[in-house]
Amino acid sequence: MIGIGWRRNLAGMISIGDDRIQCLEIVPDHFLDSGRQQLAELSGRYPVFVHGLSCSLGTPGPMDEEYLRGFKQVCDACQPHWISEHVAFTRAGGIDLGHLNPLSPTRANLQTIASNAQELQERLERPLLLENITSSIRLQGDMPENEFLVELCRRADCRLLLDVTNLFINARNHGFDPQRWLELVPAELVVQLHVVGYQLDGNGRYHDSHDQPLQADLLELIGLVMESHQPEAVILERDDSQARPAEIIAELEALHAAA
Amino acid sequence: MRQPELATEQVLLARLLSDGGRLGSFISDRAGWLDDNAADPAARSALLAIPAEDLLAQRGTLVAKRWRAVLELLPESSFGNPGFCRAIFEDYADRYWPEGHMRHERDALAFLQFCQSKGIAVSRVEIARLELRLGLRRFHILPVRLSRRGRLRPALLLMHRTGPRSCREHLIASL
Repeated sequence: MIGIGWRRNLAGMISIGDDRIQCLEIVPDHFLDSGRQQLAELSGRYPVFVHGLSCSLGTPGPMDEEYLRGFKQVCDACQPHWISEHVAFTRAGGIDLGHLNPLSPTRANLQTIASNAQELQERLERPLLLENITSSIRLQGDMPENEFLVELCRRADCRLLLDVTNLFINARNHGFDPQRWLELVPAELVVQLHVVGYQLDGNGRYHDSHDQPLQADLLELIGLVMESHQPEAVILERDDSQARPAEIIAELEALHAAA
Repeated sequence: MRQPELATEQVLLARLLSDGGRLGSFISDRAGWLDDNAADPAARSALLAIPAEDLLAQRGTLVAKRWRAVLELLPESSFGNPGFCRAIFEDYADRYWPEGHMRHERDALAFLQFCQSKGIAVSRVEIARLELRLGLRRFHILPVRLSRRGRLRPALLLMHRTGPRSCREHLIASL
């Protein structure tokens, strides 16, 4: 299945429907205050997945109860096939950074994330996928990132949402081979992919700005991952409010062609 | 005497990335800053190994994300307004870090107030809209000017809160 992330500017196109949109990903933060009826309608039309941004699985201690309650209500409204969250922290020490930040791949962090992931999975009563992030910071730890992710999934009884764009960007910024990185990740672990074009700044640094169309070199890596890991779903994650429906459809066609 | 609790890598990174001044202090004297912040041994070695440019780039990513969200919420204040720029936002972002799931709205409102304090013109309608969406006010009545047949004419704009993150606007009089 190939689909898109629900965004307000794409709501019209999504509600009308299009053969090229085969599934839908919902971010709970967009529906915490309202729109539950709309969610029920969307889940009648598409297979739905719910993608959390703010559980901060990497923060030791209890998760944010208010956010978990909202996440659960969104899941109850749209009955997702699975939920997902990031291998990251967004808040710590009373500071909410509001963005995904990396953790060093240590045994202590493995324990923290696995414990929070298990709790999230149990409380939301849905299978949980864990997603790799991109970061300018590359923290050192007890093992490489890919080994950390595989071990984390094993301990938390989860599977992976592989963000191919994040992998591509990290590989370029931190100088490693993404295909070698993928060799350690078993195909059966990867259930879903995230993809969106990258941005390259004047300093030669790559960014995950979520507002660019897919580039040819990235599309090539996506095609390789689709072939080697056979994910069940691929979601295009365009966040910019200026993206026109025709542009999104062209991106989906490129993904269908790469599959 | 009770020992102070040691700070984890997550807590230390949150302190550094949310405050440009702190990040500057850390970069100029890493060991001193880690001592002052009671870093635990694992966090200490992790943070000492991060290149300064990577930390600055990560903070830049966080601030850029806030800036993009603010621009989306404030089209009227930002359009054709040279004072309303990234440099001013970065100055502001060093003093305030918004929280919660309505953080972008809080950020946008606080930034408009910061701009006003610097004498930078901003849209009063956008301030009112954010106050309503955040639940700080239930309604606003604002005098505005409407372009009609090539001339600007005075009017009144009634705005009222309809729920979380939403408000309605009615032009109630064209004088």
